[in-house]
Amino acid sequence: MNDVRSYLLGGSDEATSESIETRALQDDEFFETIRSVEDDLFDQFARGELSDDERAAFLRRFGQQSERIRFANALARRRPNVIAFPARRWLGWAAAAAIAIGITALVVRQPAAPPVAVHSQVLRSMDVTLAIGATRSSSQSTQVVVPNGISTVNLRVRLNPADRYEKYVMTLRSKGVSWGSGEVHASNDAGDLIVAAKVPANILVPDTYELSVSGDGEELGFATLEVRGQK
Amino acid sequence: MTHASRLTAGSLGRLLDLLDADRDRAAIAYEQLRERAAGLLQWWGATHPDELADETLDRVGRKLDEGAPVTQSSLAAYVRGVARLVFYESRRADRNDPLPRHDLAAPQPEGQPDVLECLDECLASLDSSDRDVVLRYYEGNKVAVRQRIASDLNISMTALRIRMHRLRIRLESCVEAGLKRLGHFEHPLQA
Repeated sequence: MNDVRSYLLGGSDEATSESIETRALQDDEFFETIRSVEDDLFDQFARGELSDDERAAFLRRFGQQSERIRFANALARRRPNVIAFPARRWLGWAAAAAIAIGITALVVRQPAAPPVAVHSQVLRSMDVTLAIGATRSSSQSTQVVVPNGISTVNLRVRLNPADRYEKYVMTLRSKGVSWGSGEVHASNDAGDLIVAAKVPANILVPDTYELSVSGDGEELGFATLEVRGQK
Repeated sequence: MTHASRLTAGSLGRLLDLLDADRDRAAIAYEQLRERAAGLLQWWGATHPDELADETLDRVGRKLDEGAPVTQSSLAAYVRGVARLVFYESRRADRNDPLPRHDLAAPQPEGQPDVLECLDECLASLDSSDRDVVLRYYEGNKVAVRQRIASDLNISMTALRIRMHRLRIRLESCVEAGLKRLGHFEHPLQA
C-alpha cells in the first residue's frame, strides 16, 4: 500500500507509475484497493495528518473532489459517541433503581401519566432528559413518542452529583435493539451532572427499552423508556 | 470539452470481442474498463475524466478496427498509452481555453451541523453490523484495528478495504442527497 500511496501523491518514478496504472486497468480488485487508499488519504487530509508537501500534492490531485473532501471532513469531526453494538441476546431485565423522570419532549398522553407540553413544530432532534432515582418502588414507565421528521433523540441523563467518573457509557436495550453510546463524559448543566448521547431516532421503534448508565465500569442505575408509535 | 462517440458498431464490437467472448460479460467488462480509465485520468489531473475515458475507448475501438495488433494481455497497456495521449491533448486544449482557476488551498469547513446530521442519518440507515464495522474502520485509520476487523469477519485485508470503500461510496452519496434535500447547493470556489 505504501507504493500506491506514494503513487497517488505523485511520488512514484515512471516505471512504478506505469506498473500501477497498467495493473489498475486490468485488475478490478487492485483498482478498488487503490480507491480505498485514496479514501485513507482523504481522511488523513481531513485530520491534518499529511505533511505540508503531502497536503499540497493531495490538493493538486484531489482538490476538486469537493464531495469526498466534505465527507472526510464530516467523518473526522463526527463525535465518536454513538456506536451501534452488535446485536446481543436479550438476557432479561436487570434489577433497576427507581426513576424520577423529567421529560422535555413530546410524550404520549396516558390515563395514569401526567400531561406534558407538546412541541407543535416539527423538530429535527428532540431532547429526552431522565434522572436515575434511588429506589425501584417509585419507578414508573416513561412514555415517549418520536414524531416523524425527528432524526436524533438527545438522550440526557441527570446523575447523582456524587457519581463523578472519568467516563460513562449509556446502553439502551430492548428485545430487538442494542445500542451503546461509547464512552461519553459528563458535563455540568445549571448545577446538574448530565451525561448525554445522541440516539438515531430510527432505531427507537415502538417498544420498551431499558437504559443503563455506568461510570468507569460501575453500574450507576437504570431507567425505563416506553417508545410509542405516533398516532 | 464535449465528446460525441465516433465508435462504430464494428469497432465497438472488436473491443467487446477482445474483452470477452460473451457479449453480456463483455459489456460489463467495457464499463469496468471505462471506469478504471476514468480513474487513471483523474489521478493524472484531468478536469473531465469521464469524457476523456469515453474518448480513450473510442480510439482504442477504432484502432482495433483498423487492425492494431492488440491482444487481451496487452490491452491494458494499450489503453493506458491511448489515455495518456488523450490526456495530453486535453491539457493543450485546456491551455487554449482555460477554465476558471479554483483556489483549492483551503478545504470547506465541514463542521456544519447539517453535514454531521446527514452523516449520522446515513450511518443509521446502514444495518447495524455494517455501521459498526464502518465506525470501527474509519476511527483513526489504525492498521491493527483494521487487521482485527478483517480477522473478526474472516476476510482478507484487501476484501475489507474494498468492502469499506463501497460502503463509503454509499454513505457519500447519501450525505450529498441529504444536503440537497436540506437545500445545500454547491458554491463555486473563489479563485
